Amino acid sequence: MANALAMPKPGQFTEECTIVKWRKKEGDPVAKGEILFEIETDKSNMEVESFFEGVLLKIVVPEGVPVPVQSVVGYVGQPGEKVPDAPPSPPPKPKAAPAPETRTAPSPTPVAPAPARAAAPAFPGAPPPPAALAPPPPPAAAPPAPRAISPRARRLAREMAIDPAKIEGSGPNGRVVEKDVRDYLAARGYDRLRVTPAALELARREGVDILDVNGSGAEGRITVEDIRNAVAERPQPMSRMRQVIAERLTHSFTTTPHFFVTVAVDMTDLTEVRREAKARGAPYTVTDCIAYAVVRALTEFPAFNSVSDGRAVRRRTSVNLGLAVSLENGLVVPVVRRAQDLSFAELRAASVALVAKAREGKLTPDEMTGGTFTISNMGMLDVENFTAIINPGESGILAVSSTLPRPWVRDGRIVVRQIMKMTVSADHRLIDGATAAGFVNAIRKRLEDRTLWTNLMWS
Amino acid sequence: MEDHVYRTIAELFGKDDGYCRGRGGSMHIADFRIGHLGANAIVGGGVPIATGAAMAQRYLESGRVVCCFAGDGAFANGVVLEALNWAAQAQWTNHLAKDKPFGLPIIFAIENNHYGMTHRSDDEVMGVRKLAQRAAGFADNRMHAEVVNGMDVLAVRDAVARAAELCRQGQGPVLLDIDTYRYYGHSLSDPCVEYRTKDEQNAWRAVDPIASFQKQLREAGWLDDATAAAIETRVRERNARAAVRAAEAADPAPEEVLTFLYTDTACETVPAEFAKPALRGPLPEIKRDAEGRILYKDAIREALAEEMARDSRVIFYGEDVADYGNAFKATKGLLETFGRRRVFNTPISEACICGTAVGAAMAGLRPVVELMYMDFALMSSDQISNQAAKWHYMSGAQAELPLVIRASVGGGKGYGGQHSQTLESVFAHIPGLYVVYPSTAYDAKGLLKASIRDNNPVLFVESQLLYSEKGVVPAEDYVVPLGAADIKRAGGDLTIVCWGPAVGDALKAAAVLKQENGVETEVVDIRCLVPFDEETVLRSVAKTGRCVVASHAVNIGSFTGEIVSRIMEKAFDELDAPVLRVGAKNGIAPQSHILEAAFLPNAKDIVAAARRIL
Repeated sequence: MANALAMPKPGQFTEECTIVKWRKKEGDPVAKGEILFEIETDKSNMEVESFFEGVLLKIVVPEGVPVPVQSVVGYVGQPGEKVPDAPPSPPPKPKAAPAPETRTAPSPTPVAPAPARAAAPAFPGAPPPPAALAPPPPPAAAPPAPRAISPRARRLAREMAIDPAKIEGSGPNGRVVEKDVRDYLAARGYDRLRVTPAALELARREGVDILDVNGSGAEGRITVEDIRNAVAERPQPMSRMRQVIAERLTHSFTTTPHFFVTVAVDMTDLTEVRREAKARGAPYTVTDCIAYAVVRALTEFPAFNSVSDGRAVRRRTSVNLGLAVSLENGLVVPVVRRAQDLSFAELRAASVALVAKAREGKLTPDEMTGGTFTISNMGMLDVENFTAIINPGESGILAVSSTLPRPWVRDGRIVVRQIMKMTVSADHRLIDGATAAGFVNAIRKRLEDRTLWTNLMWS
Repeated sequence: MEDHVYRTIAELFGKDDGYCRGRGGSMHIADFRIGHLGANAIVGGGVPIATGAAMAQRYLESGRVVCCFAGDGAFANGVVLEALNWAAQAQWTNHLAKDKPFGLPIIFAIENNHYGMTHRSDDEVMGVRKLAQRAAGFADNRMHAEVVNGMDVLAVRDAVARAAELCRQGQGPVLLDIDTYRYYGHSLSDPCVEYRTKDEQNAWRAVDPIASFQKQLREAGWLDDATAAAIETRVRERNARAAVRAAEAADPAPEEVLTFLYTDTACETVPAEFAKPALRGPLPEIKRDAEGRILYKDAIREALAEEMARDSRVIFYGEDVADYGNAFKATKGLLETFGRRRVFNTPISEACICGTAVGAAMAGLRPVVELMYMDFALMSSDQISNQAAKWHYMSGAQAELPLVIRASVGGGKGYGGQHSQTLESVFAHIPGLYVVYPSTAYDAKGLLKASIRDNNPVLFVESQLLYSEKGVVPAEDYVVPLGAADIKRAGGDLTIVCWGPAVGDALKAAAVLKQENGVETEVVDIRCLVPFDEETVLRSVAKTGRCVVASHAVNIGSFTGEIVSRIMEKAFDELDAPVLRVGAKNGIAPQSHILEAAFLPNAKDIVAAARRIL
């Protein structure tokens, strides 16, 4: 009997995964521990190894199709072994999973099976998606059915270099027919369009809707240059990661009442202590110091380590510190768990390891979830000040700007000091201005405490 | 002789130099130059063809005799027995033949080797001890039947000479039951062990005709050992040379696989000896109304009359076509004009009607035959599909088959399942035939005349529903070319492709669509299924973007599907809607008028289909 390959459950709360790449083809030999395929989760890509030795007999789930975790995605076995027609049912899902740490408050009422899910692509033998642990996602609007269009109408649209998707169909079942295209062209004043023949040809080839192009030539004539520009300006689909960022941050910024408190921190002493430590072979970054100061301040200001849905506040006893790491094509936030229990050196070691994994794209979903507060540091980017958007499931984020020499009043005299601005974003539903001011100043005070850093870096 | 052996072997090898250019092979080899009309791979299938060839000799008064070879196995086959009956008809020799009584000059030479494939004819699958006895059942003169010792060359020679002489005297047909034997199995895979004994085989070998003939010659002092050996060596070496040459000969070109499927010739000018024959009377009078209109069936009659007056090789026969003027009076008067030599009734023997037409056409006539109902074409489908359709190709274009088979469709008249079928699609599926179906009186005349003049076999379909439809038909000579569709109504919004009685339905539908929907419909009457005027159909679809294909055939397997398929393949981007079909329900024509109305398509169905895609 061939061994069934299950879609792994990369994160505690992952319900669905997509194979982005099969590294083996059907018929390829597979050694134990060899990479079989890569999966994409909401957060990142992950490689999945084989537990079995043999030959990849069959790929059940192709690339690009999201399936519930534990679904059978393929079979490994001995050459010629029989593969079951319908994949066997996966093991029953665990009952009553604990409420997730990262989500907002659990739904107060049991959630009925979401109807939208019933329509999700069904794989034979795939389990029903686990009962929602959080409010079910809004029923995904059924993807718009591709608009039916007759071959003749499509050819006309192609000849005219227009996008037929914008045309209402009057044919049977709403099919777009030739007359609809002609009516649309008349309504849009297509006849008055001035297009050079070469531009029209290029627009056809590139699939540019000529009606969307403004002509830059004489008397508004559309030229090849205009079409080239239209091609260059054509919307490109965002990566999965960017779409997730967009979705999460839009949700946060539009549903969380943000307010912002900025302080200027005199980093002169800390800078000197770091330089000395570095000279001794103990390099610490500003981020290490800020992280440490933030973890300490969070234990003093538990509101910033809590989360609210507007009706209830949930405190988290553990500080799970998120560190925003910018990547070439986006942004990930690895999370240092139980940061309040870590020494300065441990905290640094943990964050260095996570950031390195983040840059290599090797974070597991669990390493990117469960944060309770996040630091976003743009200090290396030469900025005066900025504000950040709170990550969903958290109540604050600290935006750290560049440390810059500034004229500074000290003991009644203007001197040059290394000044760094930082701005905390806070969820006003559970945090007021005074709390935020206290919190951000508590961080500032620690950063300006020369003795503290001297001790920490010598220890 | 060596060239003959070479061309024969080349044909067995499928070479371009073979008698049939590699299209026939051993089972269909033919040499029409010497009057060899082809071997036939359908047991018995060649016998009505030979009978038709004999009809041609009789008609042309050629003095030639047809010798029809068939085995004992074939003489259990229906079409063979039909052919014996056909050949022995009284009307060839009695008062009906008037001034020229003359029996069919044909010798039915039974090569009686006593086995079919493996069955024994003598005491297993037949009930007569001698097949020659069969002749007694077909003719009062017992067809001068003889049993001949087929192992004796000179006995055979004498018997055939006697038979030929009888035929030349108009005493045919003659039946020769020639006793002989097959030394080997039916095929290479047959070792002959199960069904006969070694003793039997040895007994026949002991009277081997070659050895016996040699012995006779030696006894007469006409052959000595040296001469016999020399002849044998000469023949062996000649055959070996021919075989080697044939093996080395060129293969036919693959790109010419369809060459010879049809001939592109027609009888443009009638040779003087056949042109404008003397008539027995005036052409049948066909009354025109004030607008010059005549009935569809009269247009058929007029076409037949004109073509028979033009060319004496055109003869016309079928069931009840002569005195009675056919079941629908469509041929009334032709007998009076052309006489019984050219217009005659036949036995109820559809396979022979078509099969004799094939033989007559091979032998120089241009027969027009009638099947009273198209359903009966299935009775003669071997003769239509395996013989008429195939011989031009299988013979490598040695033979042209200028024949027309008229068949009328009874659908719509409450005749039930066996008299109502619209079967032209079945025959359009048989390459080698032309299939024509006029929808108007004008087309009926022009297409029938063109069909008669064409040198391809034509299945000419008529609708009894249309027989009483009137149309303007010029009294003068004109033809409608085969393979040219006709736009019966022009329009830019919708195309209806149709033929036969569906054309009238389509025109009614077009009027409704114009009146109620303001839609301009183009009605394309294809007129011929084969050759099919694809260009006109595609051009119309390119104009309108919408198409309904309609016929009275049941939809399943109908030629309407072929048309839709071609449109999809070649005009997909022209389509503004799916192409729909209208046809009869996938069932059997019922007798009840109520049921048949529900069964057949009509104008309303076409309107409904059109509205689905407008």
